[in-house]
Amino acid sequence: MRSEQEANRVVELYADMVRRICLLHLKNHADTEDVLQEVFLKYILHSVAFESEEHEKAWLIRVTINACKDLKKSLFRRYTVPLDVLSQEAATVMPAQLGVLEAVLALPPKYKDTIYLHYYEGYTAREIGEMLHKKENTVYSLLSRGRELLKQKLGGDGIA
Amino acid sequence: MRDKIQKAFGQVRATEQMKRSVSDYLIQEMEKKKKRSGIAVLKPIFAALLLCFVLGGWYYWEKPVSYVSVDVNPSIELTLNGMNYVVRAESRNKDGERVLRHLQLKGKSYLDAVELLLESEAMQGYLTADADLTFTVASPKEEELLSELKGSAATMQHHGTCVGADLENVATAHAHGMSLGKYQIYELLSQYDADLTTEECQHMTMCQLYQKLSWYECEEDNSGNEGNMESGCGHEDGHCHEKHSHHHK
Repeated sequence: MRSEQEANRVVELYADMVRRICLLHLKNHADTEDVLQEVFLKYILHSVAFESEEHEKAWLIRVTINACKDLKKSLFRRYTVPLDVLSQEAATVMPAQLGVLEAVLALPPKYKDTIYLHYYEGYTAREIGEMLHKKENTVYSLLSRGRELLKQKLGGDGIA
Repeated sequence: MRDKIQKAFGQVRATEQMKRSVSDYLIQEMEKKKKRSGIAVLKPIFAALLLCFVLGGWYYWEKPVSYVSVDVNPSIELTLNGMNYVVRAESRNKDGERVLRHLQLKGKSYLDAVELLLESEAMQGYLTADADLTFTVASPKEEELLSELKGSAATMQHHGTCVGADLENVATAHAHGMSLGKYQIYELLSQYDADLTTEECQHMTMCQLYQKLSWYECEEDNSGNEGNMESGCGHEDGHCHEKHSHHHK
């Protein structure tokens, strides 16, 4: 088991990232808090040492995506009425960016992680493929198609 | 597109409340885990202590401390633990075997066991008017056991005699295939008759053994008075004598 200091460090460093991935998948804040707790609990119980910070970050991304998927699979949560998922963000996010967020969140699930990991976290198609267990070409297709869909949604917003 | 997405997602952050809630949860879980691992460490210690306690208790219960030999002609020996409970009841001759066959004395207090033994139908057949019932006790608590046996209703009813013996004699008696009670008398008799064997004694009843002993004692006392041996001792054939000092170790 990892120390309290390590737990605090990783929460400080990666809580925002976990929060963003949750936003892509989950419909309400209670679920987000559950995933945050689950992911960091898994981290402190994970006894294998990470080779680097990049390795650590990739591990956390994978665990977060899996936790979100598992949560969505649960029967009870499946039928939870989606709340206005961006209601909390609306207070802090500028209106122009809120539109972009809404457009990304409105994408079919298979595109969201790829778009986020590539455009926000800066991962290459190969790295995303390794992380999500997908072929590099599949990731390229998802990126291309996702980008097209975003362009359509945002219209002449100059997203390209 | 990268720029817009970065700006948009850049504004999504975990709130301080979320971070605090996660940190609190993790600390709580870590403490639980530590407690559990603490208990896990203690588990084998508890198990070992329990095992020691059980084995210690068993050893204390089973450890032979005292021996009570009950002889008429049936020779039965009770092995007692430190709490004076019977841990073994063994016959030392065929008559004893017959008596013990239908008796369960193990686990009973020795006084209850003696009472059960004397009241048993098989034993009653041997406790005739001229029978000679002797309890021979070898124990570190000899005085306590002798006094309790002497005071017991069963002993008084059957006019039993209670004598003490050395603990070392127990093993010697067993080595000769005899009960402690008979071996004690053999030891006394062998002082008068060096040719007497343990086998001969083994086949004699307590009454016969005591008669023989009395005869020798009388012979010794009356060594100067020819032909007055029997009457001086107060014995008659077929009757048992009163038991005297020769019973003692």
